[in-house]
Amino acid sequence: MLENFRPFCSRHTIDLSIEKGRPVILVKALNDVGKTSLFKAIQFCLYGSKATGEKAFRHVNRTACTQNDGRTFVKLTFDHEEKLYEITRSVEFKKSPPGSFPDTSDEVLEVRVDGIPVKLESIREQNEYIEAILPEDASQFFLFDGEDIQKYTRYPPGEHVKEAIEMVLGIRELLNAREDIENISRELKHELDDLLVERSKHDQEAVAVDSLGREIADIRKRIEELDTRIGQARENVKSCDETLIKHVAIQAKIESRKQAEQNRDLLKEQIKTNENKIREFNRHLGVILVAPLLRELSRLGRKSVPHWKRAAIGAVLQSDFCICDRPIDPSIRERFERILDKDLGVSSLQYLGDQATELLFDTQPDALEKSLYEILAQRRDLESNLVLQEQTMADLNKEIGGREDLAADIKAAADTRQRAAADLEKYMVEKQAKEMDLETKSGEYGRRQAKLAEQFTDKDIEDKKAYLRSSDACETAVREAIDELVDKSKQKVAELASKVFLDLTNAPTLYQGIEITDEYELKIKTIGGTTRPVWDQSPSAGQSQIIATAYIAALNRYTAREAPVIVDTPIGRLDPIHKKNLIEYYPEIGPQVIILYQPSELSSEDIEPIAKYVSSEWLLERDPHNPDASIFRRIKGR
Amino acid sequence: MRASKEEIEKIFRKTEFEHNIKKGILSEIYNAEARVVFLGKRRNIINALRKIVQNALKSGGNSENKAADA
Repeated sequence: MLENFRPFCSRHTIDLSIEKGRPVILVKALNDVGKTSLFKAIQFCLYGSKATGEKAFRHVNRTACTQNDGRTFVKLTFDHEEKLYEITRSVEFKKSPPGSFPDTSDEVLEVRVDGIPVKLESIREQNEYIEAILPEDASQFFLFDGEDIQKYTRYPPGEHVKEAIEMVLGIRELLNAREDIENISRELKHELDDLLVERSKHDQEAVAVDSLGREIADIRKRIEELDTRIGQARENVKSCDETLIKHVAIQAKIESRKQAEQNRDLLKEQIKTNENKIREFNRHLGVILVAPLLRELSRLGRKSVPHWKRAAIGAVLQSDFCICDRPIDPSIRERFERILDKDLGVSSLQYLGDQATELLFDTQPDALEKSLYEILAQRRDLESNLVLQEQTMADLNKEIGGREDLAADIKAAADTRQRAAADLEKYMVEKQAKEMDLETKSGEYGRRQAKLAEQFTDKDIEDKKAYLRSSDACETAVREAIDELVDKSKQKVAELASKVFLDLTNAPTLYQGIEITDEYELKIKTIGGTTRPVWDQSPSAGQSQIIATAYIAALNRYTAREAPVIVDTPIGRLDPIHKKNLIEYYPEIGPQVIILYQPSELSSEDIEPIAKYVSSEWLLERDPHNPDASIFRRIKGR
Repeated sequence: MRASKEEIEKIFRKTEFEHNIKKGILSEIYNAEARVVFLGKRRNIINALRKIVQNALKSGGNSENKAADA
């Protein structure tokens, strides 16, 4: 079915089904009516506009696109692998003025199998799907122009032709396998290279980790050394402390002894002073000794009218008036006079008493006695203290020994302690830093070592190499299997092509058959035993067409793919004998043979020998209502 | 007319033997490719083939194939 495709305006359907035993369908058309367009419609449907050699807009019917926006499509409906396939390829087009090409959308491929849509998301998936049904390269042996197939007789055949031939020889799976395994080997080589690079990095890392391990061991060793040094420094500090304590204690005793010496000397001085005081006091001893006598005398002398009393009374009696200006009472006067009369003159006792009293007053013997006692008491205290100090000094001397001053020793010990403490501090700080460093590095070492252990080993590389060897071996094996299969297939194709060629040629007595070289060059074997390339024979166009037809018939038959053979311009410039032979051969060329011809190629007489093989015959002609359009008309068959 | 499966298998056995490949590996490869050719889906074929070719080589020489034949 096609719609708005090239000369076919609107929708047209052509039934190309065949009846059993009637594989041939004939489609007749004058030149420029649409015969080749029908051929291209099938190519467009299966492989897209690129396969037709023209852009999609060139496939849009000119009349349709001048009228409205619309859609151009070709739908093929066929049986394949016992399933009903519907393949539709379409493009949307925009209305365009006469004489210009329309804008078209991207091509859209739709596939249904037994009525169920097949989801094909990408162009690649679509292409792969169609390729699985009939590879585009292989299609040239099923859809061909009778005149164009002479290319297979040219030397050298193009690479494209060679690949196509290999494909139809039924080695598609192996060709794919070869390509896929080549890719796998390539991937494996990359993976191996990556592993080798990784191993190189791994080795470098292993060296670095090993170095880190040694660094950690060095740190541990240094920490052990520091522990020893710290122990030694602590011992030194402790020893210094003990020495200092001991020295300080002794020094304190030395100081005490000095103090005791000073005290002793002071006591001696005081004793000396005391002695002087005693000596000085000796002159007062007499007073002290006579003091009791003086006191007695004083006491006795005081019993008489004291001198002062007499003097005062005498002074009062010298006037008639008292000192208060009142007249002295006669009785008082009498009493006073009696006192003065009672003891006229000074007695000896009184004199002595007065003297004693005066002496006592002057010498104060009580105070002297008290002082004497005090001096003597002091003397006792001093002498007692002196003994005590000397005892203390004796004790200290015993403890101190002969040492006089330990200040220098103490300073030296303090300096030593300071140095030891500084060393201890230094070692402690270094140890702390080393321990932190050790912790950090040990953690890092553990992590990196674990990572190294997790990474591949040499076994990974050996495994990958073994994998690559295995892949390479498979690739080589597939390649050789392809070669052998192709050789055998080529031999069979050559046998088939020879048979067909001998059936078709107008001079079967001249030839033995066809040979196919490794490069798929065709050679003709003559009866005379010579084998020459076809191109070297300089065959006529007709002969070339016969040879190529025999070749592709053989290929076609060998592939046994269930595809119709569609031949455009089937006869070309063949001579009558070739023409007759070829027409009679066409029913055998495939299970379904569609022949597109123009009337001058095949007459009714020409067709007659194969009439019994024809299922239907169609006429492709211009639409009487639209000279720019073509229509199909069945002229024979159901 | 196309080369029969028996012919292909025969070529495979010969090639496998010559290249010290385990018996049946080439058939596995061929069948894997045949499956995707007809399904039109070739996206996962590489992974499938990688598994097949990974251990394709015989470890014990051709005696392994002989043992397999036996």
